Amino acid sequence: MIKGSAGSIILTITELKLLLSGSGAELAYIPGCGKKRGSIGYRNMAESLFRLRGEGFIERVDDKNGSIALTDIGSRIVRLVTEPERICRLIPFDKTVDELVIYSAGEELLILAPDALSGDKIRLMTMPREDFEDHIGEMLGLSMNLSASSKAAGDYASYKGKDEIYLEDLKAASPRVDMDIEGWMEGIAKTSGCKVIFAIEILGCVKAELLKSVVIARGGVTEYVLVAASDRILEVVPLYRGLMTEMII
Amino acid sequence: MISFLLVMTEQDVIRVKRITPEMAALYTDDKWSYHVYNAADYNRALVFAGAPYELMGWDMTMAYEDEDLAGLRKDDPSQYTIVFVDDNTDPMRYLSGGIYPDELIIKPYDDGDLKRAISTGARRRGGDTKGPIRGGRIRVFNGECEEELDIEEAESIEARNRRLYIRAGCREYSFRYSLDELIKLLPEHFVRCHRSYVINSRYLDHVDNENNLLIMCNGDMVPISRAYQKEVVSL
Repeated sequence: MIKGSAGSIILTITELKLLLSGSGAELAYIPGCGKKRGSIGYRNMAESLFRLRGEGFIERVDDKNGSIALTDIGSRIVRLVTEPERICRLIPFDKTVDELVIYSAGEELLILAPDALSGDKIRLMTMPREDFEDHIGEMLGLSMNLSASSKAAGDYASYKGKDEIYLEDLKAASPRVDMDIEGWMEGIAKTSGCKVIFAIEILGCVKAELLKSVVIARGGVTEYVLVAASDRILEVVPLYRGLMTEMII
Repeated sequence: MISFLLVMTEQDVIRVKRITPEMAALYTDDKWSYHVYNAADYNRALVFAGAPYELMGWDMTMAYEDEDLAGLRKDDPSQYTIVFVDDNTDPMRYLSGGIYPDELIIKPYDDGDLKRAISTGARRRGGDTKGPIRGGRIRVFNGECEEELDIEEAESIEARNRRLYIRAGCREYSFRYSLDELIKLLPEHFVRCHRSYVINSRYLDHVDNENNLLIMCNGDMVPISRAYQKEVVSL
């Protein structure tokens, strides 16, 4: 299994479903492939089984009762998808960057992204939680030298003295009422003058219902995190090291 | 040809020469040439006449002039230099010379220290001069260790999220490099079809002209952009 930002494994929806069938569990949420959810044909299943065994996800297939036994790696992936402690959807404002779905449990994350080259494949990436912030920072071009705490980040912004207006405008942003996340990001970009970088939807672990929405936006000297419930803005704080990991995991 | 200047004791030269071939085989196909000087035969004029060197090993515990080392690094301060020091060496001597921490070898040292230093230098140098491809194989990192992937296994290469991604079967390896630079190192049957994509034409199933797509044997649909249509027509 390729780890961290070194790359990913590409699986078809059929293969992912087969992996899940090894645990008898249902997937909570698959990004961008709802229309592909259907029954698995026998030929598809046979091909998928071979591939999953070749990749070291399936240990053996029991022909008699039609069950499959997963390897340790296969079990870990299934556990993250079926028993996550948190599910998040990360939506970049820049549409050329991938949208991600992040499943977290314990110290490990599974990141899923729809594959751009095919409609029925998903890219899977696993990484330890401590690597998440650097990975996202590199992917989305966030500041590399974040302050160590909220206070230090705030002190820095006020010391520079240019960001107070951005902070106030973000606090006055409209809540996300009956709006999709893209529309909400556009609205915040317009009213605050900040450069919106991405948004995160924090979802429930069972039915993937929306719990909170978050926007990360760049002001004059630092980046800000705006956290909102469905009907109100909860808080706006300068981004500091570790905050994204805390929020997402 | 990788030229390696060794300004050090005879015992150290023997160790370096014993260890270097292993590293050379790992990181480059080029031959290595050694330019060896020790205390008895150090000749400033000859040393400078042989410059520039791809790699240097320099013993600061011996009575060579630090200015000579600085002079050899003057035109390329990022040049990889392994500097041998001991507990009595004043750190300012190497810190002021801009020596990287991974370039220092503190005496007494073991073969492992030397291997690490030479391998870092060879990799850094190799990356600068020839790119990540060596003898038809590309070095990729799987998150735990480096692997060599036969470049023929690459079905397509995509520039995405500020990285390059090589797709081979159901795996995708990522690394930092420029697609413009990589295409220069690839065999001719790798074709650029889009600003962000290169395909290995040996895995091409057919061209979907109506939708401007290349349909790969594994079902992937790679876009063709107008700017690269000429290259695709040659397939």
